[in-house]
Amino acid sequence: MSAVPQNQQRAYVTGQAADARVNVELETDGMTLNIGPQHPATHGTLRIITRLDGEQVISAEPVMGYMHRGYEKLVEVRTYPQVTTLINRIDWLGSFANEVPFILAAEQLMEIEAPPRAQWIRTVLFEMSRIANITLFLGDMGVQLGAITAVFYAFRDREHVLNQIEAATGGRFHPNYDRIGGLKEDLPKGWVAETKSAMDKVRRFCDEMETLLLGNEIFETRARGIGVIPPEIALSYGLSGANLRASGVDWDLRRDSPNPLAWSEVDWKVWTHPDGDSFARYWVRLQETREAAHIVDQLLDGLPSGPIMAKVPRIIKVPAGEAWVSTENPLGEMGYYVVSKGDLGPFRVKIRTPSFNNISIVPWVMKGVYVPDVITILASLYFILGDIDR
Amino acid sequence: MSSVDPDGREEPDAEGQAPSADDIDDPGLQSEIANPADSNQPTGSSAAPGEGTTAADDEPVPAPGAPGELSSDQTPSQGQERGGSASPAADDVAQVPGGDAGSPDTTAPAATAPAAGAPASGTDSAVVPEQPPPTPTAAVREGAAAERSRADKAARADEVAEVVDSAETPEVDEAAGRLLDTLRSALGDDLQQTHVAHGRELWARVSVDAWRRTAEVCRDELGLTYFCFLSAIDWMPSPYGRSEEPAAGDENADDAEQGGDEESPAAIEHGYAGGETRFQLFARLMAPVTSVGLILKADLPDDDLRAPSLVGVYAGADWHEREAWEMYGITFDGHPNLIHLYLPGAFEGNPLRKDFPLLSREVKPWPGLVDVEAMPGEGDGS
Repeated sequence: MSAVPQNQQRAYVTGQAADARVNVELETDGMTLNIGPQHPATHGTLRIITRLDGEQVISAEPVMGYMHRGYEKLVEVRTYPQVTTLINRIDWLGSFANEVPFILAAEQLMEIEAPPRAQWIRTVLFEMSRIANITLFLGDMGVQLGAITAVFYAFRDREHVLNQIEAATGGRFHPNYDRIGGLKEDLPKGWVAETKSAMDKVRRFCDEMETLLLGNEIFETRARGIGVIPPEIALSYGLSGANLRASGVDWDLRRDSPNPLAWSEVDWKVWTHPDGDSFARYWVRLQETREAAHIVDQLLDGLPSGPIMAKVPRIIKVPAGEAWVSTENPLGEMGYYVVSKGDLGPFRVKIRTPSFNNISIVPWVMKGVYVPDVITILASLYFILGDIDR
Repeated sequence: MSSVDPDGREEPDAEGQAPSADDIDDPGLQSEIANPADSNQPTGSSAAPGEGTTAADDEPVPAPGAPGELSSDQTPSQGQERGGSASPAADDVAQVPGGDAGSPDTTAPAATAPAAGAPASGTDSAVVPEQPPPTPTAAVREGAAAERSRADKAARADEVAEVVDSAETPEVDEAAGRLLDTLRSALGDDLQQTHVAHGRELWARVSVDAWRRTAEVCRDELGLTYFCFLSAIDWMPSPYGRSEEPAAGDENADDAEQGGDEESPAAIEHGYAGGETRFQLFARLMAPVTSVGLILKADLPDDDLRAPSLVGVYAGADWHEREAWEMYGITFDGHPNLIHLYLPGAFEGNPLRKDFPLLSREVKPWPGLVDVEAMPGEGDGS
């Protein structure tokens, strides 16, 4: 498997040598090309310093920190309920999903568990965050490759999901809806039916994306075989989520790690793709969006009734201990390592964000690619700046 | 329990949520606050019967990974199976997941636990934990809590010893024990202390000299090929307290503790798997698919904050070590490019150390003061 990029690189090198022979006078010196920090392809402030030889990238070094907010420090001076407002802003497109692992970690330390209805609603909103997040990717990847139309559909249809999230939680992007022991409040009347119709729109959107992009010759030539990541490399860099599954690793924490949420209650499947290239990453995410809509539908059908809040003390103190909880967030494995000393707030929280690891592979994967492919690879790895810099 | 109310509203009286409310009554509120471990524990409502979700959480599944079906799902390297075939059309790929990689041999090396007596996957399916008979949740919980407090005590006792708790569900401990046995036989005395939390996680503290060797053992012998994260902890209580004014109404509960912290800043209490120094390095490694994980810790002597770099073992450690270097001032020997990751190059200090003040909190107490200005329409009303 690791032979693939070597082949790729060899092809580049021979091609380059051939070019050099033909056009000796066009031989180029090395050049440094600075991409970002403000660049559309980085949707945020990520800077990539590339060294080029002609059109070929010799090295690419991401520079982060333009948006570093120091959450791990800030969390140490907050109480547990206050933390959710903060960590909402890590991956801002799928914010509800950020809250869940932290709350689960706190619940684990407190030895309490939210009632079933709360767990189901959590799962529903978790998957809706995934849809809200990934729909944007599905459109954005098109726009990075020059297909403008897709992104408009993405923004249009994401709205249906955001409306539902807002209806339930009061916030489009920062719901702050998850509580230790349950949820802030129950679902509003009529929400279930409306959400189901929103899921229909999501499915239609996926079909549209499929017809718009997947069969498109330009899209395919620009994405196929570009930025191939073999599974063992992906694992050692800690890639997770769709990026890992697109390299053929059949691993999804929703299915494979014990968690109290309701994924195990419904019928769904984990999608993988053996290629590990940019196209595979797009393809896997497209299927996952569909699958998420499918999960939401089933969960809504079986939504148990009952309380949405367990009995928790009014002032939340978490007993001393350490807990690690991670979940399969839209971007990959997101986890919180919470160290408590029995105070009102955590003593130390290590936030493990998926984009951080996912982007750390950039220097490896961009070695030897051509400049336009830099954009394709960045887009297909899909990161949220807040998720890197946290 | 599963009756569907299409609009998501439940009738308050209808449900089987019953037992909950009675478990904790108000009289205890004060004592709850003082002693959260007790009060939080039973919260019966959450233990509402019947929904698999509740029980599942307490199931001791961690180390072994879910038993049966996983073995068929371990197809991390489907790429190999596809051989040289060019990228298949989208439709063809649709069916890849799951066990269709049939031949177990292709799957073996990358993800599953390797042969070397490793506990990670195969063997464990045999030891599917038998559920502690009825009323699982409550029992497990109490047991776990008891176990934890015991573990804490042991850790506090500060002796370099094994703390493997085997309260109930010994099968899981067995699996965890086997993983730790492999580690122990590979590392010998360098494995200083371990901690097992049922159904959750494994901790192992190793000497910093063995840090890199441990990582190699984990990757090559235990099959923990996935690099999750690496970071550090500063165990010194912050000399600034929590920079927080106690919320109204809980002065008595809170003041005592906070004051205590500030007066004796030197008292360092370590977490699971113990510790002897102020700074501890910790990292989490994981086996893909089975989701078996291990948290490694290593003490760093106060006068010499350095550790061997893991970049050669897990490429993903690169940025994590850069972050730990700038945030804690820990030097990683052998790191190819130890430069600032987040902070500007001229930044002085190590922000995540506890003695690094959070300036915004020093100048503006929390909460309050933010709200001194009257909101529109608020001031004129009175």
